[in-house]
Amino acid sequence: MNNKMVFGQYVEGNSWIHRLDASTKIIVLFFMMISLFIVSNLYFLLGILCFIWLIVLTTKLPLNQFLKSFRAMATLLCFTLIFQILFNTTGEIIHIGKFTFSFTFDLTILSLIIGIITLLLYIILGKWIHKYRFITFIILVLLIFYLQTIIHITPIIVTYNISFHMNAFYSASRVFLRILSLLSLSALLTFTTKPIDLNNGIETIFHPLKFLRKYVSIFGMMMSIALRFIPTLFNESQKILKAQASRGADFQEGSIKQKIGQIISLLIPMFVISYKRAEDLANAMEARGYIPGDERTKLHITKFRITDICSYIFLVLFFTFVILSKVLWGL
Amino acid sequence: MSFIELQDVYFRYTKDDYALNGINLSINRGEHVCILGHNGSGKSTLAKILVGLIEKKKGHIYIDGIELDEKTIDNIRQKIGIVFQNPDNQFVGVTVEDDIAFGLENRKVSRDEMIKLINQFSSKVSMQDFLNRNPEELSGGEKQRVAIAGVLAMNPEVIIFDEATSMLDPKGVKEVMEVIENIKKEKTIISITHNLSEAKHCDRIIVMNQGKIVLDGTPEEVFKNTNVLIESRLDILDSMKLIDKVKNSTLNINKKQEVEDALWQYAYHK
Amino acid sequence: MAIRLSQINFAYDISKKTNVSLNFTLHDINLEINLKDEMIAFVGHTGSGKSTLVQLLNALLLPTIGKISIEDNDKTFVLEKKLKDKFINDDHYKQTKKYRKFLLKPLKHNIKLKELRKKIGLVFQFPEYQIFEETVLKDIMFGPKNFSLSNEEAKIKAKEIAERMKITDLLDKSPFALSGGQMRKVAIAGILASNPDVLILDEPTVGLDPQTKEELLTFLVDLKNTYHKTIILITHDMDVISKYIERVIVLKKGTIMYDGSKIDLFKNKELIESCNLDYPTIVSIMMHLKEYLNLNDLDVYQYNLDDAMNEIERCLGDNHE
Repeated sequence: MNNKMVFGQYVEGNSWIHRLDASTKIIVLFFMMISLFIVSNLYFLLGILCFIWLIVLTTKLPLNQFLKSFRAMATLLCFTLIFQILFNTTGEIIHIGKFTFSFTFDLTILSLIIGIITLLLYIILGKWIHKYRFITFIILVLLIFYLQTIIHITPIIVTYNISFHMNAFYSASRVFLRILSLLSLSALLTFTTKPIDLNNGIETIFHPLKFLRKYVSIFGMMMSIALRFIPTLFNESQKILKAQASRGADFQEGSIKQKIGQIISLLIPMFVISYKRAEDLANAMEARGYIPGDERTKLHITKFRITDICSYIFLVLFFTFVILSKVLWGL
Repeated sequence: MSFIELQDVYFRYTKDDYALNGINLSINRGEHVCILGHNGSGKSTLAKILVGLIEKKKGHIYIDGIELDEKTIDNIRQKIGIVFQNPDNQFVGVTVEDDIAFGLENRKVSRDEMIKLINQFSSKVSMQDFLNRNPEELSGGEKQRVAIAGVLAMNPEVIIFDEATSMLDPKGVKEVMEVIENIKKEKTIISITHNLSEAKHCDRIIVMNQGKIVLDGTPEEVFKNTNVLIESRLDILDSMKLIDKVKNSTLNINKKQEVEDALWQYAYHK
Repeated sequence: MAIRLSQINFAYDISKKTNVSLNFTLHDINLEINLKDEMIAFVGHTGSGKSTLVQLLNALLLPTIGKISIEDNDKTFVLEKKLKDKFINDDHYKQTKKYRKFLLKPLKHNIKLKELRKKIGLVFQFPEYQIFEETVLKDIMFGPKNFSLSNEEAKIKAKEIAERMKITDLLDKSPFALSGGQMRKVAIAGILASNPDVLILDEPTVGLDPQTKEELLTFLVDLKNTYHKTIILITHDMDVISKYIERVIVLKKGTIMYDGSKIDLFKNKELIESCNLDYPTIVSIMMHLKEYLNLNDLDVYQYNLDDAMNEIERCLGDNHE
């Protein structure tokens, strides 16, 4: 049966990162992230990224899965890059030998018309072309650009001047490296730590703060119960879906009004069942002596291994180096 | 005074409908008592009142000589544990060991002690090889056994099983019944059920109907009293029905007695 | 007029990667069920595949390989996905990625699954999974309305079913205020209102008190006798089988171990033991008597108390007089 649903991105493994205590991982990660914003030297940033990836390699995580986790952020990354390149116009213009990266082009009425036609074509054709849709679109757009450089019959509407500057390149690279490092770090954490351990780690970190302790422990309990029940509720929703489907509820076809009715037919049983569960759970917890916010001992405690201590030593050294380099050499 | 003593206990959820309508009951230490009743007879309400999840409207409850009220409830919960009906809804931990540890964590037991207790009681319910499993990977019977281990680890004197087998498949029922059989020498056990065949292993059966105790006696006495059982909307064992038929049959007296004995034998042991 | 399942295989979670093992929940199921006048029980332990099988009958799941055909008066529904003959015994092919891709390909069909679900109704174990409307009446109407009846027609249908199930007094109540037994009846009414030919019920008697249980089962028998429906029960309760069922299908680890009458099933000692099934209470009482009183002559296969008594009388009476 499909009952092995795992929530989160955790990948089973037994590397030294897996075995690190969650609170260590969170603290080291947090300060690494901060240092990413302190450092502004490109080579330094590149070094950090390489270092992070080196660590990733030691964990034996499936790399394709690791890279896949960047996919969601890829658009954002591209957008920032394009934005930087287009609008940062300080510093000298990039040139390789005699060729300078500076272009002027005109938007003419003809190319506008062709542009609109291609867009329409793209939308219509999109129904049939599934696989290379995005690439097709890019090619079409490039074609328009090319066209207008050779055809100059119709009057010009606007003239654009696009040039690529050195500073744009620097800041774009900086943003690129920072985002990539951030993503790698957080992926490293979520891939090697079970959600429940993350939760325990956060609780351990906040434990010394007395005034917060009560809320942290309640919040931690809430999170751990949520993690415990997410798969259960997911299975439940599948069952409800099937129960209503066998009563003829059809979630693909039908008018909007029908669809709303059918969504309600899923939501209400879901609420009723969850409420019943919550009530039972509250009873069970109370009967087993749980008092919200009360001091509790823990089965899972911080197990300080030699690797944890090494990690902290490394963090201290690394962070001092970052600060020093900033203060002394302005890197 | 006996170990558990209820004097004139009343409870109602709505205004004029008493779920418990004057319960007088005393249970001795070490007894295995079964409370039988159909759905809505008040048996689960009784269980909830005993562990202090709901508060009685009238009457007195004493457990081990201490009167149950707001001040003593924490103290009394140390003496009394409960296993509920739905295996999923009482599984608090993310893994088996977390779940067994839950009550101990609340009780502020030290970590070393906790690990010792988890090992001890997970093997008592034969779940020692499952300590790192998630609840999704366990059957209903296994989840219930974990719940029992969690209760046992807190070392209560009484354990209430509130329809603990009613949502399980036959295999699960068997597993849980075996565990109960295993612990009944050490603990006072109150099983709450609507299933007569589950009640036959206990020392004493209490039949409830409409918030009242209508029958209280040994399994033999209760099984014989078919009229009250029917009135209480409970099943009658097939072996009892057959005994009735044997009594009215054309067999001679010796044969009748022989068959009857055999059927009683069946009612108790099978 | 029958449902035919031939060579049905089913697997949840098929991985594209060939190094992840394939777990079929059902193996080579062949089964024929009439759309009329049958009373069938599916028996098997948790994980035997019985709930998967009924979901296939209802097209909530579609077979990974195999063919389901439903013949009706006017038309035949066919759901089919076939492995090429040359591959059937080709173990090498079954190790390849191509095979995985074939398994993952969705089954193509030319019918509306909804129409099929109208013919074959499935009631899940917990009524809480489907009840959602403000009143019982509206909740029963939900099914027929989905199967394109108008509001008025659905209302008539719902009231008719309620009358048959003797729950007319509940129609205006909120379904959430009902007792467990009543809720289950409402859930069954909700399926019956779309007038299916086959009614499948998953563990309908669990948690019901004896009277409600008896009422429900007699109602189902009546449904079969009077309206010529086919009733399929999933149940663990051998007493239900011995009293109400004719045909039993025993599943174990995704294969059909037995398909036949209950009488032959209980006489098949090896099967009962290998599938870890219980005997009905009366049979087990009789077995106890036979052993305890040394009655070698006693025929233990009795399915109601009167027959059992007669058999005891016959056996003990003869010896003495």
